[in-house]
Amino acid sequence: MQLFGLASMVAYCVTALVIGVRLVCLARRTRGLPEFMIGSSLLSGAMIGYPATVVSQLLASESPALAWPVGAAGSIGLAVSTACVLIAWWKIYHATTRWGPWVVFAWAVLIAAVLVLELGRSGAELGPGANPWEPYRMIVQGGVFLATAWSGFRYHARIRRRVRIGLADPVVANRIWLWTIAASGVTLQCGYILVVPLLNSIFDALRWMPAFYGVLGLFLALCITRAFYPTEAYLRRIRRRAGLETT
Amino acid sequence: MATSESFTGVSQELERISSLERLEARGTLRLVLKKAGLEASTVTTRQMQVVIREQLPEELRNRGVQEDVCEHLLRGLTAANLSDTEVAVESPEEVFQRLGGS
Repeated sequence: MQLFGLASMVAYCVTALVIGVRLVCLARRTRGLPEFMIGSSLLSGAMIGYPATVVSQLLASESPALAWPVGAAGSIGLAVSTACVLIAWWKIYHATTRWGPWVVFAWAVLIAAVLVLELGRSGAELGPGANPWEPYRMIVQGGVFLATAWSGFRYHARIRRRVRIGLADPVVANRIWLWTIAASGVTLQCGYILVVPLLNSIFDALRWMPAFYGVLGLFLALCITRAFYPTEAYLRRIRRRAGLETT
Repeated sequence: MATSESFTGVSQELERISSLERLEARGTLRLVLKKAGLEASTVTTRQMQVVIREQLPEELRNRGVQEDVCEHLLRGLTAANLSDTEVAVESPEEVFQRLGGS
């Protein structure tokens, strides 16, 4: 199970690296903030935050002196990643609202506060399950992805109706769907950690965590690949399903 | 909430040529737009034409209004040559359209 979790993490990180670089390169050409934010989020979260957090937990008992800087890098990576998704959520779905910037500001303060608390951890709090601030990080991080999923589902419901009468591209609708599903997956990951104490009374939830994260990680990798780096065959399938192509 | 030129134009025309009152005409159009996943504030002329052709006839039939009203609305909309409101902020659809760019 540990091995499967590790392999899935590597697969997710490689995928996130490729898609992240692609989106950041796209942002350089288009000067678009959403693509830059989503790309940066994938790079800082999946390339730095997530792996560094896992490695620091492994190092905690072997080499505490090394575990702290690695853990700090992980916390910073995850915080930056969450902040990027927060800004992307605002710019994509709520750029015209008056409350949007205020929500972003307030949530960014929460992200920063949790980061400061995490950076103040002692060596004994770096091991697996020993981080006292992890539930707070999960709430703050999960909240951003939950908001992304919520706004995405709402918008997707509308664009799907437009697709039916030929007023929207089914490929774009599918891309919104995939990004929304990916956001839901991360929300689930955050939620799982929060409910582990409750689930432990039913089954060994902590032991199953790598498998749960692994399966979701592979699913997320598939979603973001199909959303932001789809193959021609996949695009043809989406269009065919929408009745735009007969071949 | 401000409405687009095409929404205002079509709702006024619908009120004029049918038995519907102002609120009924606007409400019917809003309902049809909602069913099509569109909004009165941002709907463009092209989108309005599709909605009038595809969805408005059934809605008018349900309200006892003759369907040929739609033909009249379409002709009027084409003749009016309304300019679509320039939206300063991109829609999520436009953003995601770009995100698939290679």
